[in-house]
Amino acid sequence: MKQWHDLTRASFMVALMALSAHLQIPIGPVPITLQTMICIMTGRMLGVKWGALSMMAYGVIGLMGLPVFAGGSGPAYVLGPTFGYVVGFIPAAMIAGLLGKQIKSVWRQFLSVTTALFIIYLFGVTHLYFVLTVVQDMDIHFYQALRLGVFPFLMQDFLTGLLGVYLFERVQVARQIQSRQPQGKGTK
Amino acid sequence: MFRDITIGQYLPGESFIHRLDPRTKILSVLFFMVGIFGVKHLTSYVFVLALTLFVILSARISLSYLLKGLKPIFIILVFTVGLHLFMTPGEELVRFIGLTITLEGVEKAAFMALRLIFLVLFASLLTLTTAPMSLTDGLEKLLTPFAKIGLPAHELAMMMSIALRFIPTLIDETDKIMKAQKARGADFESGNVWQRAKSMIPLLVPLFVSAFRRADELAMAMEARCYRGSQGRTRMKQLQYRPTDVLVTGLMGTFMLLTFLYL
Repeated sequence: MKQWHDLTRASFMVALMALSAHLQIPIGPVPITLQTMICIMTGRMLGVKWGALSMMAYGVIGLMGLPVFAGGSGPAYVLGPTFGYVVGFIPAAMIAGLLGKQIKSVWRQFLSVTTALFIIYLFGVTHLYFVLTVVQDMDIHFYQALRLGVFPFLMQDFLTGLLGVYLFERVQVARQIQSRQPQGKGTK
Repeated sequence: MFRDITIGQYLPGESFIHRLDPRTKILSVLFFMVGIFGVKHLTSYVFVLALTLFVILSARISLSYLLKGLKPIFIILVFTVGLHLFMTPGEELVRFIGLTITLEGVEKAAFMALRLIFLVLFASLLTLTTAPMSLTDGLEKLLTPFAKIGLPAHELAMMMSIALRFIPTLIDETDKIMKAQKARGADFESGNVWQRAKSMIPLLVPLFVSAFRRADELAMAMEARCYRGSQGRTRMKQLQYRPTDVLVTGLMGTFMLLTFLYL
């Protein structure tokens, strides 16, 4: 009975992921998207199973050709430079769920954000390296892939990840306040 | 801000391609994508071109519309071509300002560019000729065998349908919240990185709260209608795998094998 709540919430996280791909903060050469943040929040909120399923559904929708990824989508996206990050979202949400679910300790949250980010980048940069060397047939070193795909994003992703922890608390509080109000009084 | 999100590029039609089973089309695209990596010579692309043109013509989609779909990969395309054009060693053709273009470079650049273009063209044919919901259905059916190893295919498809349904709703909602917060004096457009990230909080908190409220209401509505997951569920529109589907899947499979063996 409780599980359909998880299912619909997971679906809404997919929709929010799609939305945040386009909700960019245009600053510097690389605009910030809040996708890593939402991925980590998804894991924390829904736990290992539904977190992973949610990110999986997100990936599949993008592969089906709906514009839910930052920068194009469609089956050819598999060979695009950023597909590895999308794949990395799945284990990252799982890790965030495993380490961070229902635990308030700040250090635990810090750990879960760091680990989740590490996993996203691990998948992302490995895929980027594969695409550049095998598909595009270029001769580059792994360090160059790191410079292209990790270093520009690291700081801001870490900051937004921590922002997500804070946001999560705020949302919980807001929901508690809302549930105390009589039904049907909210915005419609 | 969200003008560029159009959910689904699906072009309704009654062509042969449109009427194929979504499973056939997904499999065909997969075969094509694997197959194109088997192509080894520039001249072999003639066959790939013939196949792609045949599919485009039988789907009755205008070529100019299809070519517009190449816009997102334009930058990657230029990057790839540029890199291979100037970086491949070999017989010298032209030289200016320290850059040399070689015969091998031209050949390789064309080869890589064509590979990318055909991949994207063929893949976009799938979404142009198949409605998102029937794609989800087809995917669910294709993934059902994996249910044995624990992949909940039905739940996945359900989540995709719900997400697709609510993305436009959430876009409207974001727009509304943004306007409401701007009316209260919120500033989303200035400041440094940290200030901008912080300015997203008054937007994101209401957005999340309203998304969860909607999610819980939806779950309750589903329960009230006795939704029980895939168990014993029937469909209004059954997918049918017809002889033509078998034929098309077989032909595409053959194409994949042929590219690896001969092209």
